[in-house]
Amino acid sequence: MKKNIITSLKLAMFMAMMAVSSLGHAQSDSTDDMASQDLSLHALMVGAGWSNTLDSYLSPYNYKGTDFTVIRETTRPTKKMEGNLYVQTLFQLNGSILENRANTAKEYAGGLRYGINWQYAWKLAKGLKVMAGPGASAFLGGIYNERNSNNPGQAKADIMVDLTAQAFYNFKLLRREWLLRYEISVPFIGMAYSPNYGQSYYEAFELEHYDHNLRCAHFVNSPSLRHLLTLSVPMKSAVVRVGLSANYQQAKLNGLKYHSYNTDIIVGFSKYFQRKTTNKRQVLPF
Amino acid sequence: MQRLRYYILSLLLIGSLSACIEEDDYDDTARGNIEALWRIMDEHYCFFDYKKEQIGVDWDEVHQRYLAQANEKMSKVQLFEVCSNMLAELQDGHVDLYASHDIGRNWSFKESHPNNYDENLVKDHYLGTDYHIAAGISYKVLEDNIGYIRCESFSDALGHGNISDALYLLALCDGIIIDVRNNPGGTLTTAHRLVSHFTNEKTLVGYIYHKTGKGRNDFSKPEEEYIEPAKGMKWQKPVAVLANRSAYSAANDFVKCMKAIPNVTIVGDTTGGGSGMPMSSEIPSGWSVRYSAVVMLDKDRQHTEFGVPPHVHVDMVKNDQLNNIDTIIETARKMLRKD
Repeated sequence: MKKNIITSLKLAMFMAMMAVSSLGHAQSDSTDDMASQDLSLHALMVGAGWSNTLDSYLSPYNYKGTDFTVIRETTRPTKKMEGNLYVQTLFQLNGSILENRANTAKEYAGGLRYGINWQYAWKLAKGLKVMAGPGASAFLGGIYNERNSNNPGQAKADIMVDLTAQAFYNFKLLRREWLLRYEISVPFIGMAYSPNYGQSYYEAFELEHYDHNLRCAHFVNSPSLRHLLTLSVPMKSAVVRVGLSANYQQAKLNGLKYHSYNTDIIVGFSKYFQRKTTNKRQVLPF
Repeated sequence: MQRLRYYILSLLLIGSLSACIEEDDYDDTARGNIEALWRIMDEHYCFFDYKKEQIGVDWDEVHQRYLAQANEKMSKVQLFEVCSNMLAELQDGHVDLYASHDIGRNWSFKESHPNNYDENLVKDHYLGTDYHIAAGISYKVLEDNIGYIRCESFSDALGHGNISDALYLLALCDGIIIDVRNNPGGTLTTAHRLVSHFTNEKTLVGYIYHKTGKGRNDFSKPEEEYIEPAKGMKWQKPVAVLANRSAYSAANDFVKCMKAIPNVTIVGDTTGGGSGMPMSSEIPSGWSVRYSAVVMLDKDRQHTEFGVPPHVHVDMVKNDQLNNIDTIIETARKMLRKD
């Protein structure tokens, strides 16, 4: 387990070094606003870390192991609310290789979440900006336990209305302009798929016997959180990002307990595109 | 690294004021494992009332009796034996404990009964060497124009095309025998696919229901289970299905379904049972436990956990066996010829 994490960190650091070395030197500072210059942000990050997963349909115990993730983010300003309304889309793909504590069984978990957020921006002080607003997200994935009989896997799917917020802090250090960003998403209410407590997939899919398989999921029965902490610094032609993605999904539906705590160290880069022209921005917009 | 991970997790979870969703944990000790195993069964096993009524198992009394045997000085092998014995109280072939060194099981469904099947006899004197193979079934036409289909398992692939082609080659027979003796089961879908070639109309074959909570009587409403007629070749003439105590699980369900179809006669011994669809879990030692989780009843809402009785009960006769005669096959042939 420890070895897996160290390997993951080494991999993340290697990817970060590769990204930095390919981008060259830092460029000039900027505190321009995305909206005023009609910029859109595109970011791609990869990460590796650790995962702790429980699905009582498969096993009553936590399975732990290594997680891998890819995050694709796009943020663009709109003309609404005097240019203070932003639209952010997030794709997050993750996969985990997990093992039980006795090291006698493995599980493989993974899925894709797509989220779209509408956030209003407040500029609180020079370099400090806060954005918050509603969002919607959908997840499709599953967990496979390699030794179970008629319950070898568990499908995971949900559509949620989320509450989201981000805070940006722009500062200068070592003659470079840095951007620290923290984002949180709280799934508030929606629908989620779950088999019933002892229902087999044979009944649900082969015989098509429905038994409360679509449940209302909300912040009480599915208290979940998604955190994203990033530190960005402009390089030659893009902005390098490093950070932490902490994705804590939980649910208690139909008497089945589920959690998936994925924490990944992420690296990647972002670029700001001027939407009306083909000129690419090279620096931070805040 | 471990500490860093702990701090990050704690900080983010506390910061978000989110309650963790966890299951009850048990230590990997003798007591912890026995307790965990008992609890898994208590919350998931689907036949407690039926087993109490049929064989007098009191699961609470079992708890006390086996927990008293917990001794932290016992070896893993001894602990495995205690755990296996506890599960064996349920007399369920779908209840097993899997460790790397052994499988804890109760096969009394077949071990305490006559075998009623001689594999060499069937291979040497009935199938011979000139039989056909269509995926998971072997078949041939016997001398008296009775078709014989041997189905050893429902784990093997068996498509509608295979079944239709086999039935087409047997079409001129006066009747057919489907031999599922010693068939340990496999996939229900495969068993039902074979059944679907013997009915012309949608047929009610049973009911199915599952646990909806931890309570021993938390069950869903029994849902009807139907077999839809296959689109390919459908058999219209008499059929004899041969069964014995080693026809278990999906084979038990196959016999149950065939029994609901007119023109079908079950010949031989009662099947082994195993009408609870098994699921799996595990205990702290990492051993895997399998248990019956979903109840399947017959069309008259009766349990078949202890087997499906035949229409015509026949046991193998030792003298016949010595004369290379399979008493059960011969009974079915005679019956089909009469028809």
